[in-house]
Amino acid sequence: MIAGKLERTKLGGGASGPGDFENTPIPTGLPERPELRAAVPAPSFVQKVAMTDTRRPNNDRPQAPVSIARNDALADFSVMIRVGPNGTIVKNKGGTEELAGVVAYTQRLIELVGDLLGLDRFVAMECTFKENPGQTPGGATRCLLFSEANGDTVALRPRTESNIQALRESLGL
Amino acid sequence: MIPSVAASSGRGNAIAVATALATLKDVAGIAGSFVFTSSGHLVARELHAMFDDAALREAAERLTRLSDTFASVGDHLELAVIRFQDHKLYLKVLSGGMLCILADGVVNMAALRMAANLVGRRITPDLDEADAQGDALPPMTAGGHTLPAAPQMPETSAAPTGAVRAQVIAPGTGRRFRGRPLE
Repeated sequence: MIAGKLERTKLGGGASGPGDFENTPIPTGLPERPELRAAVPAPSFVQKVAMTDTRRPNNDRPQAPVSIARNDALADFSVMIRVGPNGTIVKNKGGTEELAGVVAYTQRLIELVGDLLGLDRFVAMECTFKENPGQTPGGATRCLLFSEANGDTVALRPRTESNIQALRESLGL
Repeated sequence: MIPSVAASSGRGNAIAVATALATLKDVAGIAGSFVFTSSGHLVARELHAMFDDAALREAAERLTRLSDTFASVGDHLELAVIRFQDHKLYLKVLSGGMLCILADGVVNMAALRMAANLVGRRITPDLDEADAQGDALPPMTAGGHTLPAAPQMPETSAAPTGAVRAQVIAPGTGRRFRGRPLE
């Protein structure tokens, strides 16, 4: 569901019109080769989330669809926090500094556990928490963490009603 | 044959736990598992011998700390799936400790969840008892073998000094001081 939304918004919400460069076919005069098109893998959900990063000023994608994609993707998460390799909060929506500390420390502990057990690089983690008695119904009881190639760690708290199966599969969980 | 020991003794509990862990291997892709108490003490293991027992103890301590970290912000961990490049670590928090299952990346997660639930239910009473007894017992394998305990170094209150202190470097580098890993 989330991936579908992102795909839709990435292509401009399905709208096509003047100025819609992505959907306008470019006449090349070359024969259509669908097998070559199929060989290019579609971006994963994680890559799509990464596309929403505001730290890429030279991103040549149009700005409006990207911002829509970000809002749509984030609607499924009550909290999204991106922590840099040095522990700084790069991006935050609904998170706290305390949570950033938890994310950074958790990532470090997992790396150490992986080293001890001879496992490879940490990719992602999904946590399920016990519901607290005082917690508001429908509150986030799950948390997803994944590390990115640039060293950032992203933590997401999906809303209870969100279907995170696509994200889970993208992360190999 | 897997030995059965009266559940009244602590060692019997550990063997019973290890026996239950052995059943997890019925699920294709599970490499092994280990169980530790909420204080991080390793109770039983069912993993290949290449997994160093001292390393499992350290891993247990860190996984306990992981659970404590979430608890510090009000989130009480129930389950965790940690994905590494080719492997998964499945953690199930029980009342007296934690069950940790090491599996291939392509393991059938539904089967793993079911097996973990059944084993978790089975070992919970023994784990509670082991947790109450503290760190007195050595961890057991399903074969009933007691694993060699890690060398116990005398606790010294004094911090390392001089040239020895210079060896204390950044955490997680694998360096050891007097046989103990540096944090």
